[in-house]
Amino acid sequence: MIRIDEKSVLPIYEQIVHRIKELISRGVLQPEEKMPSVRELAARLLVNPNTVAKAYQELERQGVIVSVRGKGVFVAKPASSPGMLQERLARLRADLGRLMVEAHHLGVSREQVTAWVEEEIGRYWRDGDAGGSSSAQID
Amino acid sequence: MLAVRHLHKSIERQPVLKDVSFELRPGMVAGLIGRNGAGKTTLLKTMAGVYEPDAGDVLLEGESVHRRPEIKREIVFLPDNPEALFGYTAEECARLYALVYPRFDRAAFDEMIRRFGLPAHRKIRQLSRGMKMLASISLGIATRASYVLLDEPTNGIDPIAKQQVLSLLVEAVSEGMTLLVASHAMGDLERLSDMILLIRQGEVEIHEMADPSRGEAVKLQVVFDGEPPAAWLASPQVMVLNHVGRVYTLLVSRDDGDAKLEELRRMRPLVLEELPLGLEDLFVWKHGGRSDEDR
Repeated sequence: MIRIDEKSVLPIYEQIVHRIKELISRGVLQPEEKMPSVRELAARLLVNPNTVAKAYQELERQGVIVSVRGKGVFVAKPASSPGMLQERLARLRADLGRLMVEAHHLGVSREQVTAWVEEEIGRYWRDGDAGGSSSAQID
Repeated sequence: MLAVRHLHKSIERQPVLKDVSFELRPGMVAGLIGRNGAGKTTLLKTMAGVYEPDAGDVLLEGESVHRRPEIKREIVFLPDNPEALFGYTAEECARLYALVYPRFDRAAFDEMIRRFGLPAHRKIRQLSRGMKMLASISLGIATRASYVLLDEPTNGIDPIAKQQVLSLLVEAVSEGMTLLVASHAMGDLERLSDMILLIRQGEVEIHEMADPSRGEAVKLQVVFDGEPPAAWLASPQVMVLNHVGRVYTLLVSRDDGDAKLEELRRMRPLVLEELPLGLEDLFVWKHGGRSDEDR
């Protein structure tokens, strides 16, 4: 599931952090699911266990995973993982940027792009609705 | 902790190690890199007590490896070719090692050779290169010695044997053993190491894996607007790693502060991105680039 890309520009510890978040946001790893131990993941990836431990510490600091003494490491519940939210927002913003590059490259007019975005907004947001079911209204 | 203190060693009157000092913290993995003939093997052998130093010492928890030989049981040296084992079978090696190393774990060794399909009753000499290395490393790790010094453990073996060797090393670290791995396989060392020791002209530089360049250099990808600036590119602080079309990959030394980077920024290049500096970059940079005589 997690692979180390030796050609990646990211250091190995960041690759592990990133890939685990990706697996969680794609639903491959479910909330409260048990994660492999540091030892198991190090053996599977053939990387220094100290590096895996460092990645787990970072994921725990960001609220993505929680370790339970004597039981192991688990994927955090969504409500308790603001770190994950930031991650997904950043990716969403980057995806939008890529779509704009593609639209520009294809020669789509500014008016057309705006019209498409407005169309999608009309589908999901009502007046004064910040989106989602429980999120607070943003003025 | 294993501490190397002001180590000097000459081989055939040629000074190989000059005032080498560093420490291995328990549970860490250190990679040892350097050109062929830079002194990697000499350093490992002197640390393991195979060679006597001309001056300086190697201290395990403050006790000299060279003055108290029984300490050598805590430091295992695994050569790049285990010739000392050639005349024995794996089974005989295990019995020999159990006599020398008080914590030798026979069950763990048997499990390893079963896992790798190593024949227990054939002489090590008759095994393939990969199998020889696996036998040697399995023995070394089964000693449960605190420190294992490995010389080129993945050199010249096939990809499957290489993965098996790496898995043995990762398990050893999980068991709390401390490793020093001399290798030219930069990708393997990037996976394994917490710290890099770079040996050059008899001296050892220490680089933490988290920041291999120690802030001394940056790696950049640059696309210049118009003609590339020949004079700037030729300055001693700038090393061109490669350029494909108009895309330059550069190492810029920061020994003069950020002056060279400032000059570059003022040229307003179309693309100016910092890239992470890997071990291979560090190696090339420290050895002055890919000059023709190095090829």
